[in-house]
Amino acid sequence: MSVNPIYHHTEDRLKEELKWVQFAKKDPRGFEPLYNKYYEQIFRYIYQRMDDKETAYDVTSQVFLKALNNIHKYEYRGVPFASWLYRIAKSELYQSFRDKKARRTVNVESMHIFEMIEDWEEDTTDENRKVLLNIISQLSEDDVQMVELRFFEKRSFREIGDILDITENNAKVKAHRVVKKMRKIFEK
Amino acid sequence: MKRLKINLDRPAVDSKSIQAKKDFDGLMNNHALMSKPFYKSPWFFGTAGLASVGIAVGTVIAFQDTPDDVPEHYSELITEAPMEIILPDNNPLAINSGESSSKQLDNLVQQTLLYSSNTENIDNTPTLNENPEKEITDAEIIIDDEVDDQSAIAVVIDDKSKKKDLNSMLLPRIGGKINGSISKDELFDNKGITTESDVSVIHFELHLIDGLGGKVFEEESNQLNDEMKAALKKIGGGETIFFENIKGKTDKGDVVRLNPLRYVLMN
Repeated sequence: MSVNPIYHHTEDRLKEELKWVQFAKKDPRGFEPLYNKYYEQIFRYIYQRMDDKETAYDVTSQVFLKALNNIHKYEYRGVPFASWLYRIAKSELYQSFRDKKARRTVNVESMHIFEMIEDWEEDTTDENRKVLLNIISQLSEDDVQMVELRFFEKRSFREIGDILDITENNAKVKAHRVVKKMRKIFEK
Repeated sequence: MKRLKINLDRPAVDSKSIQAKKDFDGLMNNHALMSKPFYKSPWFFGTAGLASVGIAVGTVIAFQDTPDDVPEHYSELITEAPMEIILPDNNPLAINSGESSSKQLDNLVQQTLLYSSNTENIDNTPTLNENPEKEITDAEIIIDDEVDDQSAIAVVIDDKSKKKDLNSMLLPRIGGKINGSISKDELFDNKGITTESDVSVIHFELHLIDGLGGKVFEEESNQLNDEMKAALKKIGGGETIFFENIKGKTDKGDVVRLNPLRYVLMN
């Protein structure tokens, strides 16, 4: 599985990013490099879970505004700044679902569905694809989130752990349990 | 369960259109609008803090001063001798210590009456008390009645006690009462307002106070007229009634003002 190069940083990149954060705490203008670096990434994360593009842009703007307003509260924990932005994005996303500004949507590419079916050593037929989509639609929110992060967005367990605020190992265990559950339903 | 909407193979958004939507200046403007309100700023805390401290200190000082100062002030008032008051010779309150106490009192009464008539008398009609000639007239009345000389002399000599009697004789009354409670029967007995002297009442006003204010009835005799009686009948027990501006006429034709009357009406 590929690694998201924007998320995963070397130690030097993390320190550089921390300098930007510290500068932004003193002067809001210093937030610009972080905004430019993560805007597209956060937008895609939001739009992946939404149906309407304009609403996704609005929520993205809201995420960065909230981040800038609360930048003084940010604490460096040795992980990329993006993990903090993802948590704000997740919060804003669910807030917009609660406000009924947007509907929870799962955007799936057929290619990813067939990859899962292949992993299970089943036939990649349209019938099986429909069954798998039906299974996904019936999963709990936490399970759907895990499937999206791991199988549709191809994120590493470390990145998933940072976004969900859990450990890398815990992310692995949870992903394994979801797949097991889905396969069990699929085999029925 | 269809709570999730599933989009299959939705066209991806290209990077260019995403980058085009970036608006850092807009973000800065929104941030400026949502930045800390004044009440959260250090300036506010500084100003409010100083004001609070000022108010607290002021309050403490204000409350500390009051209990400490008052007893000190009182002790000054108590311990210091009162100032000597020097009154002018023509002041009615001045008392000559050489005179006997009864004479002093008599002078004081006379002077006080004269003083009050010279200053704040609203009704300048002379009363018998204020007119020294009336005392002489009173003595003359006795002489004119051809009482024997000894009695006349006794009246003149015993002027002090006579004046006291005369004063009480001049008091107007209804049913023999000069104040206190009075019944409606006593009021309506057709005797009206009388005195024990030869002064006959020729005018008076009845003042009744009710919930809507006051009503004043006038009569040019000593008798309560029908209007007054009707009004008095409507009043319940316990109410106070006033007879004001009572004027009397001596047998010589002098009009004098008599003391007002006040009664509490009984059922």
